[in-house]
Amino acid sequence: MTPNLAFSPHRYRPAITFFSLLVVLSIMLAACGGSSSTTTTTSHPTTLHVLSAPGQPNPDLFNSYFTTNQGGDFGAQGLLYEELYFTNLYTGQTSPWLAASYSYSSDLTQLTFHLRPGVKWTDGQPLTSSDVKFTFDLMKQYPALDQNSVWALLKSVDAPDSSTVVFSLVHPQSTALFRLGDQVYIVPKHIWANISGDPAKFTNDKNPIGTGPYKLTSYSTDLITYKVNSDYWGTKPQVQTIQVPSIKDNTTAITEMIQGKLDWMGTGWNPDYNSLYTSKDPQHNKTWFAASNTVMLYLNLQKAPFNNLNVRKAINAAINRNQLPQGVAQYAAVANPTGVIIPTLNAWIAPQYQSMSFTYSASQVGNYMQQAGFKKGSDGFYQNASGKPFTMSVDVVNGWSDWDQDVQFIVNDLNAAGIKATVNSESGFTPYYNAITSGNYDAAISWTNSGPTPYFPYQALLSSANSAPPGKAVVGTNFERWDSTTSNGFSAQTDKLIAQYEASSDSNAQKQAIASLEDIMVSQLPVLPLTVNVYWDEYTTKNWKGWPDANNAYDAGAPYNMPDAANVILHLTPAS
Amino acid sequence: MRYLFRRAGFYLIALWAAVTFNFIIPRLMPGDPAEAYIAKLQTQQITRAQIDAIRAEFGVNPHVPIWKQYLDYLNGILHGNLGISTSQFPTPVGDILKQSLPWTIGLVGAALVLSFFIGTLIGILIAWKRGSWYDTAVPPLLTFLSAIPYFWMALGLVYIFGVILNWFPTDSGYDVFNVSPGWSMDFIGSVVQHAILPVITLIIGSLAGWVLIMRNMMVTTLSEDYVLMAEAKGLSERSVMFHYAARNAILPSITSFSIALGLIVSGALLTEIVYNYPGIGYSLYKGVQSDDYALVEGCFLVIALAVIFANFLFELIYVFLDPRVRHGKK
Amino acid sequence: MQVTNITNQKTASITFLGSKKDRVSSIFRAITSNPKIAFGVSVVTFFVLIAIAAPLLTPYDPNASIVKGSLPPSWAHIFGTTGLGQDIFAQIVYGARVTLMVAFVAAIGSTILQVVMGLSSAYYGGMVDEVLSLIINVFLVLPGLPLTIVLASLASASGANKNEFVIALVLLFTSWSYGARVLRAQTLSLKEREFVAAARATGESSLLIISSEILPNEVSLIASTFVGTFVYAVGAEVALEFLGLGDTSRPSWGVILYWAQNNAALIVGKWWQFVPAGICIALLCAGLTFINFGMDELSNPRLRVERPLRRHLISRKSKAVASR
Repeated sequence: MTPNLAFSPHRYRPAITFFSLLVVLSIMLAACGGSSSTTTTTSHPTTLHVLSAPGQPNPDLFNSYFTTNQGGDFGAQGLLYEELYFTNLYTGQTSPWLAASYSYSSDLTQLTFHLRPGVKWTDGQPLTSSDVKFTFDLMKQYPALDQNSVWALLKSVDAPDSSTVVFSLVHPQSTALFRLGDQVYIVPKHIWANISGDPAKFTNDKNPIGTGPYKLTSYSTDLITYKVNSDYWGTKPQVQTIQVPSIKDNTTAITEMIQGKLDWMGTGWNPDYNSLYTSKDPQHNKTWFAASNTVMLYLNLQKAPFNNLNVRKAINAAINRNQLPQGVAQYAAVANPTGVIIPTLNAWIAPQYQSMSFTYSASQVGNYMQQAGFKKGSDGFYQNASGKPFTMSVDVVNGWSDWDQDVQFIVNDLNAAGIKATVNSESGFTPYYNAITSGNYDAAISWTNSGPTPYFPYQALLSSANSAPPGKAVVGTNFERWDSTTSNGFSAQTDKLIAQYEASSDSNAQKQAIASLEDIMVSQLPVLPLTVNVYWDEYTTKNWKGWPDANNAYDAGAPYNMPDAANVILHLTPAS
Repeated sequence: MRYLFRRAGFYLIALWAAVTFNFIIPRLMPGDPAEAYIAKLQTQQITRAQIDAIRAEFGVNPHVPIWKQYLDYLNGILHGNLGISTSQFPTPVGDILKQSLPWTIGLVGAALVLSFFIGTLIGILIAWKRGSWYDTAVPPLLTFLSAIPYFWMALGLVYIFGVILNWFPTDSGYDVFNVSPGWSMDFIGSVVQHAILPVITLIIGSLAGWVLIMRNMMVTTLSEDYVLMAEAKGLSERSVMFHYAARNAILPSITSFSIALGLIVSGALLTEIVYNYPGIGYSLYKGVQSDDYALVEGCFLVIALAVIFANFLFELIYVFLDPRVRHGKK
Repeated sequence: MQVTNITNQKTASITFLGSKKDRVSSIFRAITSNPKIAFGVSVVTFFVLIAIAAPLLTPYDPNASIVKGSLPPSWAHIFGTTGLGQDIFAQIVYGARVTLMVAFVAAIGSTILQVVMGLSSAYYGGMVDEVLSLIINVFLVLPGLPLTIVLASLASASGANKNEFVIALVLLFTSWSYGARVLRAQTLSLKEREFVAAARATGESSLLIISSEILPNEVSLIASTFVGTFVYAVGAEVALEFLGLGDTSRPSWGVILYWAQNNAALIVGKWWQFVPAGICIALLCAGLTFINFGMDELSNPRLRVERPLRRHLISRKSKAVASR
């Protein structure tokens, strides 16, 4: 009887549902309008936003035994806890810090520090030598804390009175001032002696007590906040607050720099830096990429024929260094053949090497290979005397595009010169690192260590104690395995020169030792220098000025080097 | 009830399989958990003694036999001890997961609920209007939309709405610089704001699935006799559609739900990665990137547990909704 | 999200019995009559042809840096170049080979595994069924993409992912369970049919029964799950490569997207690094999905698009009934 009820209430149900969804959505959109998505750039210059390196959430480890590379938080070293005696990473100059003065014994086996009077921990207790002794003894007790291996140098640490600390060294060690004075951060004994459990796992995120210019106000994986320590013993910094966000990747970091959310960061190279960053505000957005260490082509000296000096000379002469700094690797200037970074450490380079350039000559390649007993086969590639073709692969981490590019160029150069070469792209950093430390490679591109003088890269590179028999892992950066079995007797010389540097406090004797090491680098070619690595340093002068740069190179500018980054922060003044 | 016990037993076995998988896989990895950390050290003079000490910090003890490691591992899981993260040392993996899980649940929950409602409604509508232009145009369009890789769509949305139009934020779960976590309106507002694009991405991606499931169910149901009977009785279109057809068609079969859940979980994973949304998927990705196997294990375990649990839960609900299953007939 | 048409398993299969010529012509008819299948097949064929003809379509080596930096599309580089100066069009056409090959191998392997597991578990029944069924269900419940990621990162850490077949293996491992279950259900119902009982009564061996009686009746279902697995494999493979778990030094569609993301192409506005690869993937997946839908429609007439006439019949009928 009843026809289709055209006006049944059910008819509207879908419409009602949709309508209510629409309402919900518009409420959400309204919420958008409330909180703006752009940053509040009321640049009241009291806060510094710094990012030491993108990629991870802020770890929960305000433990001054760990650098940011080793998983510690930015600021645990340098801002909360401080060193005894500051060595400027860039200039090499030293200055008193927690210690007012130091003195070596005449034979350099004892280093004594006199503490600065009047330094207090943030809980009011005074800093004494027992804190220093405790800091070092804790590393001996828990070797996992001693990630710079200072106890390889030390015999004992003594505190004869409350303001004197005496380090007794195993060997004469002129580098002890840097390694003990600059690289170890003093913690309070009265707190750390009472922590339960493993100090290597001590997160220390609840009101850490330190001597440094800043105190920890709040911590979350997304943001760390430091506020200035009003009782700081030194000159009060002008930066009142430091905020350290965690930013997930390089490009987000760059975006946030442009948006003004960051003042300072140490993000790796991006070929679009100009268009992405500096050109957006050329007056304020700046970068300073100073050389930090030399990138080398390592040849595995335990593998024939790389132990043959003539082969090394041939490979050296086949590579055109000048074409390496381009494209993705624009920033990486050609190195000096001694491997000492230029221009920072020019003063250490012997005069005859100052303006030396690399040999790049196909005929020389031919000469050296011939001397080594190789002949070009019918396919144009070298074979050894018994006709076996000579091939080599060059290891690199897949994805490190600047090195990927350069290795491709190198391989092309080698092939053009008749040396059959291929790229061996390792799938990640860990397998690559395993390969080069265990000697499972022919050739590889890699870094050397950085430091205030050339001693530090040379020692890690050439010290025969760092080498290892085949199959075992090397330490330091002696990836080429330079030792008595592979160096044709020269490793005895390099060891002697290294020891000579360590045993001389006189800078001339040290320079001489370095000069002789440079001779061996150039003549024996334990490794082949290519280009330089740089410190990643991007900053803006919108809110803060006083940054180090090429014209005012008072320190290294990268935020991830402590205690130098703390030194930079102490130099900053508001831009307006 | 016996049916339920059987099903519960099955899910326990699945759980055990997930846990054991989790145990085996990282041990197939070359090196050990400390390897990646040690590789990052690159310090000048680290000695072999240090390396051994660091390995010990990460609990790597090669002298314990495998079966004991397995038992310790199972024991650890029961106590919520999932090991220590190597990329965020010394934070335990459990803590990292505790922080990330709520974000993922929020994201997946919101997307699931919203896309279910929207998708089901659309499915009903187009099933009803068979033959009209909706039915010819909408399914192919939705199929195309669903064929687009999730993350690519996410990136497209980031580009259009974030970079070009700048309507929505495209990064993080909330505004890190201006807002701190807590139950404040600011924080909640910021969370909602940051969730809009990821949720929309998930909805678009899974919409096609719900629509098509619903449509096909409706199609099958609409041809049933009782629907014809309802039509013959003269009930209104809407009445038949909602009270007869949809109500029966809306029971997604267990397989469909299980697959839909699996798809939304993987969609959420990729979405979190694109938007840097701080959920489990993002932690898994970061763990994979930094060779943090403890974290990868933990994330996989949690995801597997959640999926298994959700499946079991839905089977329970299904048992109550569908009398045929309760009485043992399938 | 890759969607396969999740229908009830009570679909009638198209039986392909008869002479070979009949079979070929019936397949051909199936393809051309249904617009969905026609579209899908043409899209897939298009990409396969492109992959095969790659060297003819572009003079560039996909790995070679030709220009400096990332340039927008131009006549010389139709799809522009990557951050390293590589031609994107070359990467797409050569990359099609990798993407298609890996997905194809994964799909074939997975389908074989599905057939073996599904059919044996259903046919042999009893304990075999219990055990195999359990394995199938466990794999079904484990979350697919996380498991794939974990396995792929294992492959990546050990360097095994240089071999593209390792990725195919990983995809195989995580994709076979759904199809196995579907096939098992179908086989269960077929097992009870008269012709199978008859074959058993005449004493034919199990293997022969499976291969000559059951298998031919499931061809359409197997084909459908193969296509579905193929779609899943493409999607999962691209996802893995996007996350950097594939071999990032060998261009494929997913790797193109990986590098685009790595170089922040979006934020800088370099849309050409993203769009072509994404569209190709979407088209390929859509094409395959359409094939699947079309095949479903062929087997389940109820899913075919109805002509409006029938609707009017119903409402006229109800009006007629109601007005009494």
